[in-house]
Amino acid sequence: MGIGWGQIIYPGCVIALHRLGRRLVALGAVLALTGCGSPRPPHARELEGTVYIYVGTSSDQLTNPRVDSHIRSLFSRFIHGFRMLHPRVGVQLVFFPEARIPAEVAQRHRSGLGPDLILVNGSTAKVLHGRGLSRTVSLPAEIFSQLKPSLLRSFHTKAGWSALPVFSQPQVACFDRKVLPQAPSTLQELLEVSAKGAPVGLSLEPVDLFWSAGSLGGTAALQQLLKLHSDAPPRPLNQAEREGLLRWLQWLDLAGDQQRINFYATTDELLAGLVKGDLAWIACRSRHLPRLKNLMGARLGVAPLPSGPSGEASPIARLRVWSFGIDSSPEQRRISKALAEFSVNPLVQRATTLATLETLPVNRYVNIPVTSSRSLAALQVGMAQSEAYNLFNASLLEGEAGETILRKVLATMLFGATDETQASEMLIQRLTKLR
Amino acid sequence: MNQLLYELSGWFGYLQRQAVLWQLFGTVAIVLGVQLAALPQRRRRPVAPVVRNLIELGLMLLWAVLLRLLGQPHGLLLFFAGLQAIWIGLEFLRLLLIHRFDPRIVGNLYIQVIKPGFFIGATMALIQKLDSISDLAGIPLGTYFGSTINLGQLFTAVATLYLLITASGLPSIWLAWLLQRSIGITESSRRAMELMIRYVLVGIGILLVVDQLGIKGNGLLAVAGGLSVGLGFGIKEVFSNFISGLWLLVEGSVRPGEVLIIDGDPCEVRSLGLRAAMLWRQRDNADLVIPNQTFFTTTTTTYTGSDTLRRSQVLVSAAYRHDPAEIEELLVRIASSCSGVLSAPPPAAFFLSYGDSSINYTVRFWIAKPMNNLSVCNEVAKAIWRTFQEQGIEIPFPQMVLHEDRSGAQTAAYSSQNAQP
Repeated sequence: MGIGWGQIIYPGCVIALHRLGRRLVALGAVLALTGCGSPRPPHARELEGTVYIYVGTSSDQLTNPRVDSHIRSLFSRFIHGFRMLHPRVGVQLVFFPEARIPAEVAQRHRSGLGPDLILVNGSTAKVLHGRGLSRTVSLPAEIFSQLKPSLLRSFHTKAGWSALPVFSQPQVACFDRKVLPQAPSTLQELLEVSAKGAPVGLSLEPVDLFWSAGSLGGTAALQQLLKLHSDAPPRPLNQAEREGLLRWLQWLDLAGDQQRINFYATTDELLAGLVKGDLAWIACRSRHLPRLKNLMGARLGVAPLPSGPSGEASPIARLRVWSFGIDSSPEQRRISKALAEFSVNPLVQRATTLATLETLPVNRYVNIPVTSSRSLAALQVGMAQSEAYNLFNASLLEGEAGETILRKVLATMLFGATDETQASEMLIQRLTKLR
Repeated sequence: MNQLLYELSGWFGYLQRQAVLWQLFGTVAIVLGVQLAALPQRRRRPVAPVVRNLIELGLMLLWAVLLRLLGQPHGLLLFFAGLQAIWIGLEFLRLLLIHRFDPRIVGNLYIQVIKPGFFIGATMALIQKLDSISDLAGIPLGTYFGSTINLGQLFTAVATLYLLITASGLPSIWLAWLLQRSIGITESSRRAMELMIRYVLVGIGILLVVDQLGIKGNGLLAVAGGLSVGLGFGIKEVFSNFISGLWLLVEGSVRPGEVLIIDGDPCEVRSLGLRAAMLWRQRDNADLVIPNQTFFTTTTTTYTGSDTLRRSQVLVSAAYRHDPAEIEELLVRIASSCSGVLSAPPPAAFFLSYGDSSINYTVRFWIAKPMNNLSVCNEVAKAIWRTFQEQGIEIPFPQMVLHEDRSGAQTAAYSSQNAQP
């Protein structure tokens, strides 16, 4: 007669425990049959659950239904691809203006309802991590080794990676081929084509005008004053930096005096001017290209931004990265990581680049077909320009204190209320105070 | 629609998170626990709903403090506690308003506007916590009448219409009152004006909603054409009543506050709705719901058409021996002394006829409120009886005197002599 294990411990309860033992064995059998009895290790289990992705967007993307639907369709293609591999995964997308993302994440984190993944600019990802609103992740070596080290470097922390770059969106020149057969390659040429009758549009938004600073030597001063590299300690401007800043302001003032160069308050106005044919040349962002291509067709020309006497243009590219939320459940963390890794897969990166012609891959093993696409070639140059000045993580979002000061001083100078020397002093004084 | 369902089902993904579960289960457990503990069969004295709500609020806040001390997220719990606090605040406000205003109006305001508003606001705030209202609003539901309608547009349209229908009452009352004060219209005209302003507001609202939805006129015309056939056969009575109601309002014969004679009884018009009028019958405090087209197609007697005066009368008899001139004068005096009888136009008494045992008189007088007819007549009749008693005026009633002759044959004769009621 078999003796139950309970007999050894409590001899008086042999029968009862024997029954209990049998029931537990039966329960174990049922659990084993249903798959719970012998749990597979977490990494081997099929991904299952819902993840929440927040996407930071520019204000023009949220207000323009056509642009909005373009982004949604891009995401739906990407998610569709991921769900083909992991059909039990649900993905919820929520769009917010980029500047509102940290506040939204912080507010929802208080309820435990924060996102699992956040697609934002590199600068915003740094803000999120600085405020403790995103976590670090460990990347497998095979992923880490595929990404461009220059793009990855700034997200390295002692505990791991604070964000994972996905793609970049540089700034380039967009022009009307009907008016300009070829885009000007220098600032001098830009002034000349405008003098010959080609209307040129420049933005009053500092983030879209920053490209011109590099060509005139103003970048070093602006980077220092605007704390575009938060890790560098603030120091007073040296003489060369002051002269570079003044040279940039002088050129802007000179451009403002030209009959056919006009400054516009918003990017939407610039884009509309180019589409209508009122403008022949503007600086545009890669994310505007699908919209312009759609409206202008073959008229649209894309080229790198013009260089100047002091060097190459200095456009602020948008490096889009994944930040990882802090409220996720263990399963949601697994899904988020898998989804982020899936997005940098060479095949996905190449497919996204070719499908949109507006983003550049971060995976260094993806070849960009620059010979067959002038747009992609221009984007690649734009990204290289940005990388040269280390500007792809620079934050100059609308409404930030430094951005507001720069915008106001530029507007005051361009409307003739101050000259460039006064404007330079005002900028140095006000932005230094801000530091 | 699939996108909407996908979006809604996605919210359940938050249940994968322990921090969310702690907050949700805590809230549910607190609410259920307090409600069960307060069940009538468990307690001798029932607990007032406000007290229950306050207990729930206190427990939620305690639970939130505990979670905070444990370093757990507790914003969702505070959100529910906030909603509970607003609910309690609204309840206190309701009690305060009931003391100052008509409880019926306050009750209606709460049921029709404030409580639905609270629930919609709370739902939207919750959605904003879980998702993004603007994203959800952009979900397309389909193309109707040549225009793509999304969830946000549909919600705005329904909310606008509901708000116009339920909340347009107060602005209409105020506007009609303003018109009454400025151009001096009568009370019943004010009420009619109130209704018409309300219809106009709802009409404008419908136009705005159609415009906001981007529905094209051609599509609407096609639908209206198709519907008109259906209307002609199917719901023509409803439509007929609606049009009759509008016409009656404009014409002014049946307006709220008017007094009509329905089956011989004076009834006051309480409201004139889209389909039927609601009348109040004083005799038995009954509410009569009469289709509007009844007034449109049948003769209606009203005491409030040109003015609100009603001429009423009391019939009385006096013995032949009294001078008719004196009786008439007395009747006029009696009527004039009664409180409900107007002095101008003055009461008048008339010699009506020679009766079998008395002379029949009538005293006619004017009253200001037609609905008070019965009470004023009652007062006048009793005053006549009292005065006749005091003055020794006989109100005779028919008597039969039997005369028997010697042969035993009987002959009958009527007499009023010395007969007293």
